[in-house]
Amino acid sequence: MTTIKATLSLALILGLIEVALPVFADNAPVPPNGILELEGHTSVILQTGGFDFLADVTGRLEDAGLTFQYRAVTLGAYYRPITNLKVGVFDRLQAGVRHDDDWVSSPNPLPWSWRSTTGRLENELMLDASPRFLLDFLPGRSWVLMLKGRYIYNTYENQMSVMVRPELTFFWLVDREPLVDFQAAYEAYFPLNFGTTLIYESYPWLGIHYHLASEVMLELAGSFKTTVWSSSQQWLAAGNSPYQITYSRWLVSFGVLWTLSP
Amino acid sequence: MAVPPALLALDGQIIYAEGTVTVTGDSGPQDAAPGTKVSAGSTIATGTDGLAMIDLSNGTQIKLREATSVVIAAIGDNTQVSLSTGALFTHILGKLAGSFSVRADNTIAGVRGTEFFIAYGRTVDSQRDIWLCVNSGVVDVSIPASNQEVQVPAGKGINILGGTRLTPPRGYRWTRGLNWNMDPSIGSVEDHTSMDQTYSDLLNHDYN
Repeated sequence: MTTIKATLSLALILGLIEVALPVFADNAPVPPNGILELEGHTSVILQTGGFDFLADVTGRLEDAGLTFQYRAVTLGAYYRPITNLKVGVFDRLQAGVRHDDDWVSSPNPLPWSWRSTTGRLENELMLDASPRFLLDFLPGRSWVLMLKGRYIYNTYENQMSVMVRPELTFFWLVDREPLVDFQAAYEAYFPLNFGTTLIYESYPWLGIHYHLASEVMLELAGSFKTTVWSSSQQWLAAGNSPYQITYSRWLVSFGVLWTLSP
Repeated sequence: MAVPPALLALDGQIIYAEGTVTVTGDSGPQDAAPGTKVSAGSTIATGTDGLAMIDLSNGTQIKLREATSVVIAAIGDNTQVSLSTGALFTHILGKLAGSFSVRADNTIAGVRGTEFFIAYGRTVDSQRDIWLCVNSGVVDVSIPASNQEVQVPAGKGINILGGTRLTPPRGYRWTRGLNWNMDPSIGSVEDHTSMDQTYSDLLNHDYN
């Protein structure tokens, strides 16, 4: 009888612990539960009068269920003041982006969950400068090194950041024209007025472009993205404990790029 | 002694000149001007500021761009021009009398009543590319040493890679900027199409 009581007591205690565990876990955010994201995009570049006007539409499936989360439309233009430099201005309308504190359920932070942000429109203004150099001393003589720098102002809570991307591209030329190019890059986002980390998001990036014709390119790219969400100033000002979430996942991207020159 | 009319017909002449243009013949180099005679063996060269147009007497006119040098290899029923450097345009007035061809390195462009443009491009591995595009008519392009031949129709162009390999004719966007005009009375005859733009600009690729 004593044994039965002890067993029941133990089961009750274990049951209570099991019920209580999610409550304790809810005190700290965890990364989203996906390891793979699939992205598709198409770009049209209209080259005219010294400007490259660009329009891009991007969509991305995220999380474990590969749900349609991120979507964006980008419009803007590049201008090339000198051979080795392009500057650009772009505006991006996007939705489905997760920012710091998007895991908080308001007004009560418990229990937490990831907010759905697919209906939240954000506007990003981007200023871009990308010096590039032909490394014709390397084997094949068709290597290009580019260092892209981009200032980003997001209307969502006036967040500002700087993106830096060193990028090396090798063009496989057939009859003096590119047939395929291979890109390796590392992209890093430095938050200027939010977050508690030096780098908000970063990833190595490998891409292949098949030049189907002078006007059409097909893109296949892959990267391993790491994003860090951390306490916002509002969160800390409310007396909450600081937090930091690091989320890493693979991204596979497909693209079709059109270049038009009237 | 009077020169027989048949031999007079074997001379061509400069019909237009701008900037530095020299004709080198038996009597050595001389500054060229409209009316300056050219004949088989003559070398006509333009400076970096120069432009020249030459009537080759068999119904053929050629326009030399800046920094160009040609040798009149033969003139008459079988007129042959050898392009040493630079670029030239051809223009046939009416019906071509005899034949006309332009040689660039090992490449021969044979003309059948047409307008075409031929120019040296980049030097790759010590071999010069040769670009050719046709505005009207057809040009037979051949490399006799390797038995390669291709017909280039109007609106198409080819790149002869290193002067040794013919590529299939296709439309090239850069050819739209060529100035085919060879009549100064109706407008500028200058052409400043950069041959560098005939190549893919690897520094102009932006994917996002």
